[in-house]
Amino acid sequence: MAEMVLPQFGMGMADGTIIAWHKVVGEVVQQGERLCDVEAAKTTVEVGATCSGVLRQILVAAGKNVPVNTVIAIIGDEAVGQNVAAAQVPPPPPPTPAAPISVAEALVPIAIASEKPEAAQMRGHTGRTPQVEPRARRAARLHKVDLAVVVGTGPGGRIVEEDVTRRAQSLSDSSRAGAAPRNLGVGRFHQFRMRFDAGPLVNLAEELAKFYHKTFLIEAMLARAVGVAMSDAGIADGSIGVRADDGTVKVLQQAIALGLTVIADRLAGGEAMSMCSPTIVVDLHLEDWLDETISFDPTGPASLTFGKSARGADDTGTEWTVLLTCSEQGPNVSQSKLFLKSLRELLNSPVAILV
Amino acid sequence: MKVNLAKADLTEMYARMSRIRAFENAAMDMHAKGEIMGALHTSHGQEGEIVGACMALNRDDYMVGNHRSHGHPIGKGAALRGLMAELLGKSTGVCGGKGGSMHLADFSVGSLGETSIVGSGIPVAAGAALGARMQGLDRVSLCFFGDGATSEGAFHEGVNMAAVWHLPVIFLCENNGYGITTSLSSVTLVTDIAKKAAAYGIPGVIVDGQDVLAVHDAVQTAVQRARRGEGPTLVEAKTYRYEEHAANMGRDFGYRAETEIAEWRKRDPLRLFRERLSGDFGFSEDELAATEKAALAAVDDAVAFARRSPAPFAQSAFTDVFA
Amino acid sequence: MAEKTYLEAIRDALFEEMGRDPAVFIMGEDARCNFFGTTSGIIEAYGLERILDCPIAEAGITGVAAGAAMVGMRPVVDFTIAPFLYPAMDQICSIVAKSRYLYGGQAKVPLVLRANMIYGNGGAAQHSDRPYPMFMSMPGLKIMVPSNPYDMKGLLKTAIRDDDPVMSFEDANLWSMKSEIPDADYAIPFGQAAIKRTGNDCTVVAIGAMVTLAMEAAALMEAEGVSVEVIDPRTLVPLDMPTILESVAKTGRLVLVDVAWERCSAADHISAVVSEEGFWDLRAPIMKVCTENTHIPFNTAVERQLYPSCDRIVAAIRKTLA
Repeated sequence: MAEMVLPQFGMGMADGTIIAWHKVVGEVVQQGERLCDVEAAKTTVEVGATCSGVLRQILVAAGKNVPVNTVIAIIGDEAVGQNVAAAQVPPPPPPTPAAPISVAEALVPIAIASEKPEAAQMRGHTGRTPQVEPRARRAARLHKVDLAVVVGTGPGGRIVEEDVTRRAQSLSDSSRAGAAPRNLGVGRFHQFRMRFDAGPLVNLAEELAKFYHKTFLIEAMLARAVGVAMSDAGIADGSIGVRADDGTVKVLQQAIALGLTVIADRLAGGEAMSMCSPTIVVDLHLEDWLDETISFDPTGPASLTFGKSARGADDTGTEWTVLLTCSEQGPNVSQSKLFLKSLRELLNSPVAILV
Repeated sequence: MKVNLAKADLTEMYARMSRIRAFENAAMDMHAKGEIMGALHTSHGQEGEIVGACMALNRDDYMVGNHRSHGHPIGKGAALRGLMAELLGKSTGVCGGKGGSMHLADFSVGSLGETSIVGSGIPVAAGAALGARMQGLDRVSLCFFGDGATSEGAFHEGVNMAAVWHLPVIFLCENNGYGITTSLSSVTLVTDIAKKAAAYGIPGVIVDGQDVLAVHDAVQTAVQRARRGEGPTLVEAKTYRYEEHAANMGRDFGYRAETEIAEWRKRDPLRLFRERLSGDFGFSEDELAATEKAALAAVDDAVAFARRSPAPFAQSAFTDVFA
Repeated sequence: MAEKTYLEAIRDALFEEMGRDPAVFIMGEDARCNFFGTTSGIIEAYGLERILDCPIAEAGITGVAAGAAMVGMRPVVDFTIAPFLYPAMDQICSIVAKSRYLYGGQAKVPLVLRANMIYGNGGAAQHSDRPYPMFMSMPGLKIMVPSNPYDMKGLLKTAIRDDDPVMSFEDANLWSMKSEIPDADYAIPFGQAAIKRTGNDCTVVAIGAMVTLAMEAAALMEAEGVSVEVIDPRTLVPLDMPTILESVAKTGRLVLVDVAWERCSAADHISAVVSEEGFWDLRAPIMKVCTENTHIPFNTAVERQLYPSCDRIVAAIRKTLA
């Protein structure tokens, strides 16, 4: 059991104001863990817990100014459950005799048995499936979003309503023509989806074959398009990879500036080199791509998956869907947006990749 | 005792007593056959004190009673149809099927309700008297309760308040000697309940409950006292209940000797009054028989009415919780 | 407009309603000597006949009031201290609450039972009760819990004018609280909660004197950037659940502050209703800040720790955000 006092940060400091408490009564605290912020002499200082245990009482509320060495909190032993109050109650302010007591002064706050310490452990991620707040579940049902693919941004990784509606919004946005970022989690990865008509690209391939008497692989053309788009997105230096049928990835380093024929030669040549970031891997091996599945390695680089769109009754066969999935090693969100914008323009009018 | 009752009043007195007896017989029978649900507390043997007391009041005077409730509103002049329909829980019952046997009430004849928590009506009766006086109404309040109720705190509190405020109440104790299976002498040292009146500074009067005219006389005196503003009276009617505490309880609890019941049956209030009517008041056999027959017919009519009446709607469970 | 205390508001409501309706009268122990200051001037204006001093007979008083009410009067019974309702339990539950229903609507019981909740002052276990939840359970009783003088007057007037039995639970800690009271007559309908403060992050429903604490807590949370909505139900029966549910639909978080004992408190009931009807709006478990489930000891320091406080409310709000 320990009393925490308002520390004196400097010789001249006589008092301080509690700005905010970062723990609540009943929470487990570790020694040194940030307990509250104190402002004194125009400086805000983080005050750490002086010992480990359970925060039993907060005696000075946020916003209050007290002299140095005033007891501001009491940290109790974790093991002690119920018998908090008896010996440890600080003397309350003396009541005004006879007159009815003002409720604010008279009622002395204390943490008691009902505020159980184990409640603190219920906060945050336990490592099992993430918590989902009821509002989020409702939104998921309403918008037909699979919670398994939603990443939570709430406390401890909890899925909150906004996470679901955001995904639902991006799903519905992407179902129209246009790339839209699906932010699946800050700092983890993000995913973009875009539909495009592969007709122009296929036509160009045929024309090139006629003109050059040489067959250019679609992969090579896409890789070149990727290179141009990366350059447009302001990605100064990067590699382009192409996943082969056997699953391996052929990497073209510093590929942004490489022209189509060089790319095609190198891909045919079978060079396998290591990747450096940012890398975008072109993967044409997802034939029937359903928008609810994510198949990528979140620790790897960006992966640009092209698949034939499974939707649409009037599927002419040339409508493809692009899924760009970027990990922390891939392009960031704003780069990704520019990249896809440029990529779309190139795919609509692929002649530019010949430049 | 000089009887200042006109023939019509005497006829009505005998009629009400007969109606109570016939009503109770019919009710017991229907209850035994499962047609009436819940507990049924009959007043066989107590018709004298019930009718004697009620008929000392005007129609707009108030009355509060207890779980042994059928006789009280009948004595006060309530129509039988609504009472019997209430016993069957029908929507045409006086309480819309909400109260049943123990909670009859007919405000149109001043019956403010038979309350089944023992003793609970005593302060209410005092309150009715207070309310009447505050509104300048010349009304008295009659409260029926059993000997068992005098053990309840409510008896003490209600009688005391009526006494100290001189409220126009007649506290009528229907002393039939038992609270369910418990004899009065085992629950109090003062088995003449009227003596308890002294504790409150009001008159206590003992009267033969089987003698309807004696009861009428005693209550009338109390009513006049009350109307004069002299306060309440405690009238104790020594009476007896011929049937069990509640009908069809299933077994003989053996707390009353058969001889005792037989003795009291010799003093059946209906027979006693019949004898007096023919002997002292010149009623003919035909007249008496006609009254009895009419009573039976009235009960038959009430039973038929009750049987053909509709049950309340399910939604009625939620009405009259609030205004 | 005039500034009046909670006690003055009670007195004014009684005085004005007695003038408005001759059926209204007061009964209670020590009513005439104006023990709490709620009957000043009433004897002079209306006479002794309309304010009755009663023997110490709570059951008898209640029954007499009920009988008088059934025949046309409108008594206002002063129980003085809330636990004194207990001796009258049978009359309240078996007669007052039930007569209208039991007798199929023939009986009308337009009375008001007023009780003060005096606690935090060393009244000890038998005098410090806050028992309104017990009566919430019984159908047929309306219950008001005014949090300020304006509401006290408006609700008491409605109670007196209401044809149903009303129990008024008045917190003695509010006696000297002041509000602006209009000169013109006004009555506050039952079943209408007051939103004392709007907010978006957390709903705090506070009962009676707890509203003051909730507002303090809300102000403190404001400084931390948390916007708290405070709702005062004003009446527990009827209870304005729609306003509470609407607020929870907005904020997703609920803290209930109730000075009654936690077990089977009004907070318990509201929590259960919101759990069922507003579950999908929630972002966090519903929190309750109530009096600890123990008796009230004499020592005031030990006593006062048991009741809700601003800090406990703040802690509860923080938990809903965690």
